[in-house]
Amino acid sequence: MSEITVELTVNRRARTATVPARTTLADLLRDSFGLTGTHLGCEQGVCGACTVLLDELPVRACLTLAASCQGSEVVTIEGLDGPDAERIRAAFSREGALQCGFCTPGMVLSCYELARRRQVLTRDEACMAMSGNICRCTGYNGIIRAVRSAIAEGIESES
Amino acid sequence: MRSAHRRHGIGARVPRREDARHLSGNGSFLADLRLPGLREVAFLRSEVPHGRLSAVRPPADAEPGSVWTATELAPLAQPLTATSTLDGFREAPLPNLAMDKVRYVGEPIALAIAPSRAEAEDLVAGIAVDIEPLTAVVDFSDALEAKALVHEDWPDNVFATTGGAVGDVDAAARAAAVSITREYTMHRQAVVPLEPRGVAAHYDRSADQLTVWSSTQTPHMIRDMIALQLGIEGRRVRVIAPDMGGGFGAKCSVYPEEITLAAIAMRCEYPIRWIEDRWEGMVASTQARDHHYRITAHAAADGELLGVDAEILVNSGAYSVHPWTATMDATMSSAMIPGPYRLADYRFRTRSLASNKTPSGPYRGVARPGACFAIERTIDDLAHELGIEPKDMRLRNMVAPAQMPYRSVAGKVYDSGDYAEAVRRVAELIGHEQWRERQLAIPRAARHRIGIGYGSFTEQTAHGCIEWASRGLAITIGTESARLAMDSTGTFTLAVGIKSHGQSSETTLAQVVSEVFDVDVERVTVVHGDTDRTPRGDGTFASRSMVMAGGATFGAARRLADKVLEIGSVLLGEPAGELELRDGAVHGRTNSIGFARLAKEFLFTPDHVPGVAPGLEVTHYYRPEVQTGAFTYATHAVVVDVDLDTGDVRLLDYGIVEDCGTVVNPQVVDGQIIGGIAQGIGTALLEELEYDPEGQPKSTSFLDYLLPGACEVPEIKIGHLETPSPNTVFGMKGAGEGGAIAPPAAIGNAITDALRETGASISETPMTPRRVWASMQAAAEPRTVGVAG
Amino acid sequence: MKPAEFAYHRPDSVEEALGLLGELEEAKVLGGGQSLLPILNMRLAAPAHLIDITGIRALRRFEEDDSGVRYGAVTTHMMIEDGLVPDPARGLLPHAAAGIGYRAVRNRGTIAGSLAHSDSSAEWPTVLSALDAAVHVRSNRGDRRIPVRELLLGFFTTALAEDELITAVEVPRLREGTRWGMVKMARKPGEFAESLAITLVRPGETEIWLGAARDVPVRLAETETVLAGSIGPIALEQLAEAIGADTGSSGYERQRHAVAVRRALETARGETVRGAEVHV
Repeated sequence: MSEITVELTVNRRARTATVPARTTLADLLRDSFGLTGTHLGCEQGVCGACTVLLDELPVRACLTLAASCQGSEVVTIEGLDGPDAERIRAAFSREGALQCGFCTPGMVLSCYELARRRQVLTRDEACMAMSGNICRCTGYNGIIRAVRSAIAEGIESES
Repeated sequence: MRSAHRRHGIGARVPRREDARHLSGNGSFLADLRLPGLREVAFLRSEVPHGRLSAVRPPADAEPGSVWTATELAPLAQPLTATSTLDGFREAPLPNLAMDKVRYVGEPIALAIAPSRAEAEDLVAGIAVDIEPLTAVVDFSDALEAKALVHEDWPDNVFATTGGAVGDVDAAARAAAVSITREYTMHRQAVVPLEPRGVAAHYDRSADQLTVWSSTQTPHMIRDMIALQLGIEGRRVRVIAPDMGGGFGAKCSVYPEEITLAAIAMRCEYPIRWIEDRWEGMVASTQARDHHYRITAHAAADGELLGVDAEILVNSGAYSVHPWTATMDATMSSAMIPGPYRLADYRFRTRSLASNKTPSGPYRGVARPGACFAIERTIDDLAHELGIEPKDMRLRNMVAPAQMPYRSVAGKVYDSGDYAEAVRRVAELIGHEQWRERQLAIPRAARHRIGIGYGSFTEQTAHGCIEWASRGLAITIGTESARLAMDSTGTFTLAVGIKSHGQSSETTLAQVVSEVFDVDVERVTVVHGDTDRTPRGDGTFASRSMVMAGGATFGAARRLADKVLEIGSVLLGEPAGELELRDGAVHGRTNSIGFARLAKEFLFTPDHVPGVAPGLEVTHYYRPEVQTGAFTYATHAVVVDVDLDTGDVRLLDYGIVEDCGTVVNPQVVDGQIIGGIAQGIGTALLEELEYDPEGQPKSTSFLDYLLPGACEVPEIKIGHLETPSPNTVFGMKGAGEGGAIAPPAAIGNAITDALRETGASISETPMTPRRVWASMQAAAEPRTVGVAG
Repeated sequence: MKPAEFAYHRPDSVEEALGLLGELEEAKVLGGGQSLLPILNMRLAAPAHLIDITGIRALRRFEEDDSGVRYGAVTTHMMIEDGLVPDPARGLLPHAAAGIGYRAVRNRGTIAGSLAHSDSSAEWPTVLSALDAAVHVRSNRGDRRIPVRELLLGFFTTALAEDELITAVEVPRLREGTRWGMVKMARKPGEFAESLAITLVRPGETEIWLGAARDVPVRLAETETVLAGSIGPIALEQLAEAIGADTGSSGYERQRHAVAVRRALETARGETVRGAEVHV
C-alpha cells in the first residue's frame, strides 16, 4: 500500500501521521487524530459539513488530500476558540441556528472566516457567503441571523 | 403566545441544551463511534434497475469471511416482509441481499469487510456479478401497462387498490355551476438527512448480547425486527441510536443493512460498521413522493365546493418497507384530499404501483404535500373559473370553529381550531392587498410578473392505534413511554422511547418535567435512543413525539410529584394537599424542603419517612384517549416573481399562520416550521430524483440533486394561533411536519396567479425554470384536445 | 466513497514534476483538487499516480507587463477574486472568480486546474477563451504556448499530451474602449452554469462567447453578424434563432442562452439589467 507521512499543525499542536496516500484531510483528522467534529455529509465538496480552516482559509476537508497539507496549519471545530468563536457559538444558540448539529461545525467555521473580515454583510450577502454550507434542518433563517449578528458584534468589539 | 407558568416550563423559550456539544464538535454520531477492533463494511449494489442475478463471485484472494453474499447470509436472517390488512394487498419481501433478481439501482447484492472503508471498497470492486438485464418498469404508465412485471408472480404491478365514495359526487356534478378536471404530478424526491444512515454491530460473547448501533428514528422497532429476522430472543439484542444528523423519515423503516450487519456480527470476533455514502443515500435510502393525481371538482356559483373525485397513483418503488408498506402514501393522500374543507360528496380511488425504483418510505409530510398540492391547486383554479379571490374561496369552504369536532368526509375527526382565521391572518401578515396593488402596477410590457398563492391544510398528528390499523399496518403504533427517576441528589433522569434527532426533545421534555417540579431544565437528563436504558416506545415520526412522549413524561412527572409531595408531607408535617412544588423544593405553609434533602432523606434513610412506599421512580405509558389525533393546521401564503423570459421564480415574501395547539418552546416550534418550509421549497422548486427511461437514476449526487441553500429560503414570517387540542396533554398538537406540506401548493398557486394572463397552469413539481417556461409555451400554442399532463 | 489506491508525489520543482510526468504511467497532475477529488472519491477515475504541483513555489508567481498578466498555474480562484494578483481585464476576472463554486472551493481550486479539466459550464474556459488567453505548457520535450481556444477540445479533453504540464496562464490586457458583460445562469449560487455568456463590446464590434452550450466554449459568429446588421435592440426570438444556428441548441436551452447573451450585452453597454444580480 502506498503510504505517506505528513507533518502538520492541528489546533496549534504539531502532529505527524503515516497514512495511506489516498487519505483525505477529513479522514486524517477523524481517524488518525480522533477529531470527529469534522463531519462527512457528501464527500463531493457540496454540503460543507467538513469545512475546516487550512492556513486560515476555509476549505473542504473531503476534497483535500492529507498529503497536500504537509507543513500546513489546520484548525477544526474542536480547536476554534477566542472571542469571535465564542460570539459565534452564542449567536448560533440564541438564534436557533442548529437542530441536529451535523452541519454545525462547517457552518461555524465558514461563519468564523466571515466574522474575522470585520465587514458588515446585508442579508443577501450573508446568504451568498454561506451558500456553500447545506443545512437540512433549520431553513437557514436562524443561521443567517446568527452570522450577521456575530459579524456585527465582532465589529462592535473593536470600536 | 401565552406566557409560561414556570420559568422553564411549558411555553418558555428555554435555550436548547443540545447546542453546546454540537457547537464544539463534541456530538457523537454513528461515524464517530470508537469501538476496539472495528472493521468497516462496504456494499456491492446493483447498477442494473431490473435483472436476473445468476452469479456473485468474490475475488479469488479474498480472506474467508470478508465477503458475504445472499447464499451465506440466507441461513442467518430472514428477508423482511411488510404485511398489511388492506384487501388484496400484495406482499413483496424485501431481500437482505439480492438472491435471484435485482429490482432497483442501489439494491444490496453483497458486502465486504476490511480494516478500513477504502479497503472494503477495494474488495467490493473485485466482486464479479452476472446480471441479465430485464425491461425496467419506471414511470406510471410503464407500471400500469405492465411493460414488465417487477414481481413476476403478480398479475400486474399493483401493490393495492383502495377506493371509496361518500355522498353522491354525480349529483354534485349536476348541481355545479362549474366543474374542472386537472392532473398534477409530484415527482420523486430523496429525503436527504445531512448525516447519511449507518449501522454498527457487535456481539459480546461474554454477555451473550448483540449490540446494534443505528442512525434510526425507531430503535425499539429495529430491536424487535432484528430479533425476529435473526430468530433470536429479544433480550439478547440491544439497539442504540447515537446523535443523529436528521432523519425526516428516511431513518424510520427497517432496512436490510440493519438486519444484515446484525446477523453477520453474530459470527464475527470484532465489531463491524457500515456508513452510508452519499451515492448510497440517494439510491438505497427510502425515497418519497412520486404521486400523480387526476382531480375533478365541482363548485356552485357562490364558490361552495360541492364534490371532488380523486384518482391517485403512487409509484412506490420495488418493495414494501416495514412497517409502513407501499400503500402508506396512497391511503394518507386519499384521506387528506378533502383538506380543511366542508365537503359532503367525495369519491376516490388509489393505486400503489410497483416499479424498478428504490422503495418509497416516509418523508416529512407523508403524502400530504402531494395531496395538498392537488387540492389546493384545484381550489385556486375553481376560484379563477368563478371569478372569486382564491383566499375568499378558502374562507367560504373551511370548517368553522363551531363545527368542531368535525368529522371529515374521509372520516377524520378534526378536533379544534379556526381554519379561516389562519387564512385571514396570513393575508395580513404578507400584506395581501399591497401585493395585489403592486401586481397590478407592473406594466404589461415588463418581462416579469408577480403572483400571490395560498396553501391550506390540516394535518393529523399523534394519533392512536385505530388510525394506523385503518391504514392496514401490521404494527398499530399508538403509545409512548417515559420513566422518570429522582436520584439521591434531587436531580432527575427521564428516559423515553422516542428518539430525538434534531427535534430538541432533550430540552422540551425537560420542560415538561419542569412544568411539574419547577426545576431548571439543567437538572433533568433526558435519555433516549437506547433500548437498554429506555422503556419501550415506538419512536420519532408522524409529528408525534412532543404529544406522545410529552404526554408520557407528564404522566410520569405527575405520579412522581404525588410521591414527592407524600414524602414532603411526612418530612414537613403538613398535609400533602397543602404543599406545592416550587423552585426546586416542596413548600408548605411554614416550612420547605429542597429536592436534594428530600431525596437523600427518603433514599438513604427510608425509616425517616414512615408510611411511604419505597421507590422514587415512575414509568408511565401514554395512550391518547381520543385516538383520532390532534389536527394541526396552517395556511401558507407566498409572493413570487416570475421571469417571463426564463421561467425563473423568486420568492419575494413568505408567511405562515399555524396552530399546533399549546406551544412548548417557541424557538423550537419556529425552527420546525421554518425547517419544514425550506424542505417544502425544495420540493416545490429544486429537488427531483430523475430516472431515465431505462430506470437509471440520474441525480444521485449533490452535484445534480439540488438542495435549498441559504439563498433559496427567504425570511419566513410566522403567526401562531394557539387553540389547545381537547385530546392531548396541555393541548399540544404535533408540529414537526406541517412546514413541509403546503409550500408546493402555495408556490404553485402563486406562479399560476402570476401567469394568469398567459393561461399557463402549474401542474408538476419541482417547478423548475424549464417547466415554468414550458408551461407558458404550451399555453401560447393553439389548444389541442385533451388535458395537459 | 473513498478513492482507489494511488501513489502520491509532491515535487518541489517544475523539473522534478516533468521528470515524474515523463516516467510514470497513468499519472495525473493534482492542483487544488476541487474537480479531481470528487471524481476520485466517487472512483470515476483511478490514476496510479498523483503528482501534486501545489508545493512548487515557482508556480505560485505572477508576472505583469503592458501586454497582460501571466499567472502561475496554481494561482487560486480566491487570489483572483480578492485581488491578490493583478487583473488585466478591468474587473472581469475577479467577477468570474467570485462565481466559481463556494468560498471554500475557491480557496483551493486553481486557474490552470480548471482549464485542464475542460468543462465548458465552468467559468475559466469561457472567460479565458473570450479574452484569448493562452497557457504555457512544458514537458521534457520542450515548451509550447497554446491559446485556450485551441487547448479545449471537448468535455474533459484537452490538447495537452500526457507528459505536459501547464505552468502558467497568460491573460492579455483588455483593450482600451472594450466593455465586458458576463452573465452566468445557474439554478443556485455556486452551481455550474446552465448558460454562461461573455460579451466584449468595442466601438463597431461586438464579440460574444458562450459556455455550457456545447462541450467547449463557442464564439457566436452568426449571432455577431445578426447583431452587426441590426439597428436598435434585437428581438429575443431573433437572438435565439441566431444562437440556435451557432450552437445547435433548441427549445429551453436556446431560450436560456438567448436571455444570457442579451443580458450580457446590456451589462456591457451599461444598461440596467433586471435579474442580472440573481444570476451573476
